[in-house]
Amino acid sequence: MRRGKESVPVFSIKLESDPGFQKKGRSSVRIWAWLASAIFLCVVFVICAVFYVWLYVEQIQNGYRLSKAYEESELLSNVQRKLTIEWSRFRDPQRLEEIGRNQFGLSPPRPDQKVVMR
Amino acid sequence: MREQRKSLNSRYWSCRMLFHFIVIGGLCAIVIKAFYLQVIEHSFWVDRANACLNTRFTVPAYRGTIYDRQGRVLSYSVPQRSLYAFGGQIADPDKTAAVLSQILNEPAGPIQKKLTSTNHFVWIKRQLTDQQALEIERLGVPGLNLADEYKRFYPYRQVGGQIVGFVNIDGAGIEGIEKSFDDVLRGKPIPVSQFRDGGRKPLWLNSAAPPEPAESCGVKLTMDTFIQYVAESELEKTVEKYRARSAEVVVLDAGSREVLAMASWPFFDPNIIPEKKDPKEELGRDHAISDAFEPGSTFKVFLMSAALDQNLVRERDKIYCEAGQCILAGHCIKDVHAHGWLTMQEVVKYSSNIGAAKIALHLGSEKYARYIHDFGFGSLTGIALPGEFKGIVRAQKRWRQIDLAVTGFGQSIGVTSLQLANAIAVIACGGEYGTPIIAGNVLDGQGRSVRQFQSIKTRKVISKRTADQVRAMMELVTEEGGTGTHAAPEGYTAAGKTGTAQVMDKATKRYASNKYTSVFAGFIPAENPRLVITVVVHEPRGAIYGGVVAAPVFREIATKALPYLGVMPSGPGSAPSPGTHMAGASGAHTKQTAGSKKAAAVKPGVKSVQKAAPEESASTKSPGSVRIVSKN
Repeated sequence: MRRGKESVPVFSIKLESDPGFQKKGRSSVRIWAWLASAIFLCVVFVICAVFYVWLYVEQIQNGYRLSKAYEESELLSNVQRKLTIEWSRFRDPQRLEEIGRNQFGLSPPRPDQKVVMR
Repeated sequence: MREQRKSLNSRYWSCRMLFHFIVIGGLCAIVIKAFYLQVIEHSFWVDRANACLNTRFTVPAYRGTIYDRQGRVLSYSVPQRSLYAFGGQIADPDKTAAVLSQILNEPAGPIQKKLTSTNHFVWIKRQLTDQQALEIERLGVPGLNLADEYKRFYPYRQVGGQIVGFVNIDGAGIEGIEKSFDDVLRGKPIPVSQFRDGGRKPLWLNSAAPPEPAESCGVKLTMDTFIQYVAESELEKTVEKYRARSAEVVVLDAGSREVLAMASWPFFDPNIIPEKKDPKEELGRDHAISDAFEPGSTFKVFLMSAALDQNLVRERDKIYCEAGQCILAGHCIKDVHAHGWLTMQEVVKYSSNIGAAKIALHLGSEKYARYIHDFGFGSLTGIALPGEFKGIVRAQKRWRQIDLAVTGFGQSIGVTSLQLANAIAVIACGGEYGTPIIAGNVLDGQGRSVRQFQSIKTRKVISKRTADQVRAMMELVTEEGGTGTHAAPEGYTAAGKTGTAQVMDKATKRYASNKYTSVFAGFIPAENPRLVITVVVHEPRGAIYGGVVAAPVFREIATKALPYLGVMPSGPGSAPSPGTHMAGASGAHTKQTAGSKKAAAVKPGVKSVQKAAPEESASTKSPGSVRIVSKN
C-alpha cells in the first residue's frame, strides 16, 4: 500500500528484491504462458479445422472431378469402340473389292501382270 | 416484507423447479427421440439416407470379341441406347407418340399404345441409332428415358456369318460361335454404388478408383476372313451360274485340321435379324455341319482306302467292270461309260460304280462299316459349333447286300460337308484321324491367350502306305483323262475325287431323275498337302457333274488361297502361266507353257441304281461273282 501511495514507478522497482512482485510476476507469467499456449492451441485447432474442412471440400471437389472424368472416360471408351467397328468395316474384303472395281476400275490381274518373286 | 420475501421465495423456487422440469423433460424427450431415431429406426433412416445419397450403377462388361485367325474383328459389342417410358407418366401421349414416330420412323399407333400403357416400365424401342438417341434426349419429355445397352455388330457382314452366329436383343448367343462360347463371351456387369448430391449430381467418394468398363473373354477363330471371302465369292458365282438350290464349301488346314473357311450358300448376315422370325426359316444355320447329303463317288476313296489297308486289293489289281452295266445283289448297277478291266487306280480315276460295288462286296459289310466309322462318318466331328448333325449311317447289322454295294460309291449314306472334308484330311495326312477345330484360342480382356484348342488325333484309320497309295490315285483324278481335271490350278498338283449323287425325292422316296448333288473333295498340293477343300453344290441346273460344277470352285479357291498362305507353285507344273513376269528377269515375259492341265470336260460315271425286274432278280449274281485278278 505504501509503495503504491509513494507512487514509485514500477520499473524502478528492483524485482529481485520485491518478493510480492516476484510472486505476482510468477503468476502473471503463468497466466501469459497459459494464454499463449491456449491461443497457440486455438490457432492449431483452427488451422486443423480449416485444414480438415479444406480436405473435406477438396475430397468433395475431387469426387465431382473423378465422377466427371469417369463419365468422360466412358464416353471416350464408347467412341473408341464405335471407331473400332468403323475401322473393321473399312477392312471388309467385299467392300474393298466393290470400291476397287467400281471407284478405281480395278480387276484381278491377268497372268502377264503377275510378278513371281523368286 | 418478510412474508412478501417468503412468498417470493416459494414462487421463485416453484418457477425454478418448473423450469428445471421443463428443461430436463425437454432434454429427456430429445434423448428419447434421438434413441428412437438412432437405435430403433436406425436401419430405416440409413436406408432412406442411402436412397437419397447413394446411387447404384453398373460398370459395363462388354461381351467378348470374336476374331479371325489374323486378329480381324468379326463380332464386336458397341454401346447403343434404348428408349423406355414409365407407363402413364407421359403428359401428352398423343403428341409425344407423333414426335417419336417421326424420330423412330415407326407408326405412331403402337408407340401411343405403349405410352398409355399401365405398365410401370415399357420399352419403346431398343438399340437406337446415335442420331435418334440424341434427338430424343433433346426432347426432354418427362417420363421418357434412355438406357445404355450394347449391340452386337458384325463388320464383315455375311463373311463367315454362319460360323460366327448371332445374339438376341438381350445379348445371349443364339447361333454359331456366339452360342457355343456364350458362357465365355458373356460379360458380367459390375454393380457399383456412388454418391449423389442434392441436385442428383454424381460424385465419387470411395477410396478405390471407379472400375473401368472391361471386356469379357474373346474367342480367336481358326477361320481366315480372306479365305472365307474367297470361298464365299467363288461359291456364289457357281450357284448363280448353275442356279443351284444351295451349296457349301469347307476349307481345312490339312496338318492342323483347323477350319480356314466354311461357307454355306445362301449366306447369312448376322447384322440383319428380323424381329419376328419365321419358325420355318433356318436363320443362320450352317448347312456344312447340319445337313447330310449322299457323297456319291467321292466315297470311293474311302472304300479304296479300306480295301488297300486290308490288303484285299493292290493298286495294280484289275477288276472287270462288266462293260457298263451289271446286276449286283439283285439290283442293276450302271456306269455312264462302259469299262472292261480296270486297275484299282482306274476305278478311282474313271469313277466306276460297278468296280466300287464289287470291291465293297468283296470287302464285306463288317470291315467296311468299321472303316466308315473310323473315317468319322456317322458320328459328330466334335467341332465347337451348335447344331452339328452326325450324318446317316445305318447300323451295319441292318445292311443288305445292295446297301453294301451302293455304299461303295456313296449312296445309302448321308454325310456332312465337314465330315467329308475331315475324312479326306485323314488320307492327306498319312491316315490319322483328328478332330476339326474352329476356335483357336480363348483370349482375356487384354487379348492374351488363356486357353488354346488343338485338334485331337484320336486314331490311326489307315496306314501311311495306304494313304500314299490312295493319294496317288486321287492325283490321277485331276490329271488328264480323270474326272476332276478342272480342279487342278496352274502350277500346283491337286488330288481329289469328284462325285455326282442323285437326290432322294422326299415325296416319292425314290431318286429324282433330275436332281443331283455335285461334289468335289480333295487336297492341294498333292505331294505336301496344305489345304483340304470340299465343295458341294446341291441341285445345279445346266450341268450336274462334280468335275464340271464343283471342281472349278476347288481350283479357284486354291489358286487364291495358296499364294496367300505362302505356298508358291512348285514342281514341273510350277512354271508361271504364259506372260507372267519373273522378277529379276529384265522384265522379259516367260513364255513357258504351264503344266499340262487342260480343261477336259470328262463326264464322270453317273450312278444309277435301279431295282431289277423280277425276271432279272432271278439271275442275281452273288457277291462271289466279284472277279479280282492280280496283274502281278
